[in-house]
Amino acid sequence: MKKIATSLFLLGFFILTFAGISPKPGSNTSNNCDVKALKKEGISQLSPYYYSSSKVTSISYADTVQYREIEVPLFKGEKYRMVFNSKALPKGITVEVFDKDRSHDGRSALYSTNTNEEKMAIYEPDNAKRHYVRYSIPAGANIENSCMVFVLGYQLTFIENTEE
Amino acid sequence: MRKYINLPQLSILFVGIFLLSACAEAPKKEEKKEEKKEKVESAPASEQIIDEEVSFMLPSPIQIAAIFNRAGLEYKSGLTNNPTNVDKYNTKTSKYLNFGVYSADLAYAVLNNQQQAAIDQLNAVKKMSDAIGMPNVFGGGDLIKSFESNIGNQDTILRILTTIKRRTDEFLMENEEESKEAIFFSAAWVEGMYIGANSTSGNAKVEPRLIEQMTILENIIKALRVQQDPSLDLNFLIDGLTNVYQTYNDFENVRKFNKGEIELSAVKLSDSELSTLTNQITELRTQIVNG
Repeated sequence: MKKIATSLFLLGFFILTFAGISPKPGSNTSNNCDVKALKKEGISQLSPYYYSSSKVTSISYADTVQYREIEVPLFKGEKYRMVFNSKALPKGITVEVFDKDRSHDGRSALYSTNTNEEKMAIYEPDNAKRHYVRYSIPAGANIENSCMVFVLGYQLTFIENTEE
Repeated sequence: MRKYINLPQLSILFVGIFLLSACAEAPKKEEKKEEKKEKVESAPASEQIIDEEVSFMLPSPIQIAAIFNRAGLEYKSGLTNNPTNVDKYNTKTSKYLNFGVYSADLAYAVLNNQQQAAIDQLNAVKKMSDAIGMPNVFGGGDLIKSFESNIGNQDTILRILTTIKRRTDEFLMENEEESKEAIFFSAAWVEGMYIGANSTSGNAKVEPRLIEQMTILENIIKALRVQQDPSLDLNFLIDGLTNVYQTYNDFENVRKFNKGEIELSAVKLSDSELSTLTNQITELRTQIVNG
């Protein structure tokens, strides 16, 4: 009887260990991601720009480096501000902004920051054309999934700004 | 003498089979990783590229209206969807789409200082918002009051419009329906293009702005194609936008641009091409506003 119990225990242990639940890359999320609050903080950094849109990206750390890329349409002659709120991230990621997509070899970043250094990063592109935001997520084991909040603002230069 | 396998031996056998099958899976995963690496920029061997299904942002409809406005688009009252049409939208699809249409019309009226039209369009947006089940977007009527009392102050009014946009985004996010933003946006985009295309005569500055807007159409179509709500009938919209996209890409100058032979700023459309595009957009817009 003791042998049977031991065998069943061993069998169960191995099945749970090897057939276990490994997080899917990109799967959501995270109890530590209060999107509404993070977005609100990001929007507060936009003034005097108007809120345009936002993108919340689930960040899950894996045993390899991962990239996420977001295409951002910007229109000629307009002014924009990008705000990256990474306060929820337990481990820093690199944020880069390109004006070419990843099919272009040797593209160089117009802007780059590490969220370890800047929890609330702000970038204003000089030239409004389509941009690509890339998150480089470092490898990391046993790190809780979280999220990155990106808020985009635009300026209407022909509108007289009456905001204090 | 017959020999039976006992339970400890059986468990070792199971574990062995499991480990062998796990090892057999591993190379397949590596192969997939290798295939993917070839398609993307040179990544170190240990790296893996993981993308979101639809990794792009859509702009604000208010901004699109503002861009056309700055290009000198004049206000034509007959172009917008009549606010009295709100009651005829009985299906979920027509409510979602016309929320987008009225949002674009509202921005068009505000940017052209059409105060009464702006108030009427705002009320239409609110009715559509309520009908969709997003009453909180208007904060119990406070936004309407604030809008009416600040109607002469364009900056404040635009900030109210962006508040509506932000609250709509928040509502969708809280209800895990962020993807539906694309439905509102697609209809607002069609309305903006309809107004722009039907107001271009004699205005050389508007045409490049129309062409610029065409660069986001592919992403709009992608965003509509990933919609999974079976209670929404978006096929006509996807088909219509796909036709517009294909027509546009067949234009001579656009083909040159797509081949990298000319810059976007050098893309010019002939009167006939512009007319074809305008007709297709108008047809699609009519389908949307007819519900």
